[in-house]
Amino acid sequence: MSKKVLILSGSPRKGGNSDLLCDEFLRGAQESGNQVEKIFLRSKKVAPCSACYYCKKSGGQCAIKDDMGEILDKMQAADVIVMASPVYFYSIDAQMKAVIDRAVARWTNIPDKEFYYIMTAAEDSEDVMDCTLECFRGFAKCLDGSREMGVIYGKGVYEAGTIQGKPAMKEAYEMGKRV
Amino acid sequence: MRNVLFITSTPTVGGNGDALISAAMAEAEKNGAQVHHVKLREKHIGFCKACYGCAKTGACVQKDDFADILTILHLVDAVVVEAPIYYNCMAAQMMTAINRLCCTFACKSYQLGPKKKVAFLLTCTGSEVEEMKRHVRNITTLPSISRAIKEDRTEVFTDCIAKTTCAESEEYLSRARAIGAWAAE
Repeated sequence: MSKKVLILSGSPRKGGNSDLLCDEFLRGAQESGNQVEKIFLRSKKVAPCSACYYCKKSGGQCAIKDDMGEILDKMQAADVIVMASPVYFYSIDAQMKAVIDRAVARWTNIPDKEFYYIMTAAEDSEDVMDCTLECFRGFAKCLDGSREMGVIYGKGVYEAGTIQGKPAMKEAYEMGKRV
Repeated sequence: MRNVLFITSTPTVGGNGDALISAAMAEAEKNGAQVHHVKLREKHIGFCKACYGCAKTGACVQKDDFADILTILHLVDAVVVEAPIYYNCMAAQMMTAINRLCCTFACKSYQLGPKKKVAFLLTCTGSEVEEMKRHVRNITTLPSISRAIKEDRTEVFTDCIAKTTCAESEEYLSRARAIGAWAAE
């Protein structure tokens, strides 16, 4: 069955490693007949949440008028949400965190999504990504009926593009294919 | 005299973070510290672009308010940071500022001034205290950051269900005061 797949790519770099993994996931998911869209957060404007709770009174509309409304529409419409971030200070990057924080506007209305996470880090061990994964899981845990379907660890990459040829590229493609 | 920087990252004026920082800051002053206060909600700080423009000299290519914060960070003996926890992880405002410390590892010779005492005051509703402490420890133990730290403490304030939870809790305020006094020592 064809699924709607939304990929949120949090890499701040054009051709960044986590973004390249997103492209591989996208290629796989498209090849198996899904409807896939990638949003590159770098080209969107998402301000941090100001915790004003205007959204509580407005049926999920945010007081801040930027690109987050469109991102939330697409998150709600998707069956599958892929979130990708480089590991910064052992967490997700602030760009991705801003999106997660702003989802507060409609968090009670993003049910039953399948989640995949993609992370990249300069170090070679998976331990350094524990906390990053917790940042993603902390969000998904708050959403009704969310299910974690897969995690890609892009290890040992620092310079943009060095993920090319690493096993994670193939894993991302195959994971996308199995969506 | 000790110089202590207080950084507020909560977007909520008069909320839990403000109550904790006011209490800690007043106590630090009482103990003879020169205090500095930065509220991130009043600053414009861009996301780190991971361009590594800072690799050579440590200076960021983005000309925004972070440069002034970094200048104060260099000067002080202690830093007390407040951050709300959203979805089990510090708010984007704090993460944005932390990400901009990119210069500390991209530029190998970078030194954040004298070794400092660093305290994190985290407010949350239902997050696990140990998990939140681990989140902070991950940052403070990074080699590029830890070489600028003398001692660090993390206080997690749970069950902050109302904007006034901390202001109304003598226990929470006294924990914040203790951090203020410690930072001023």
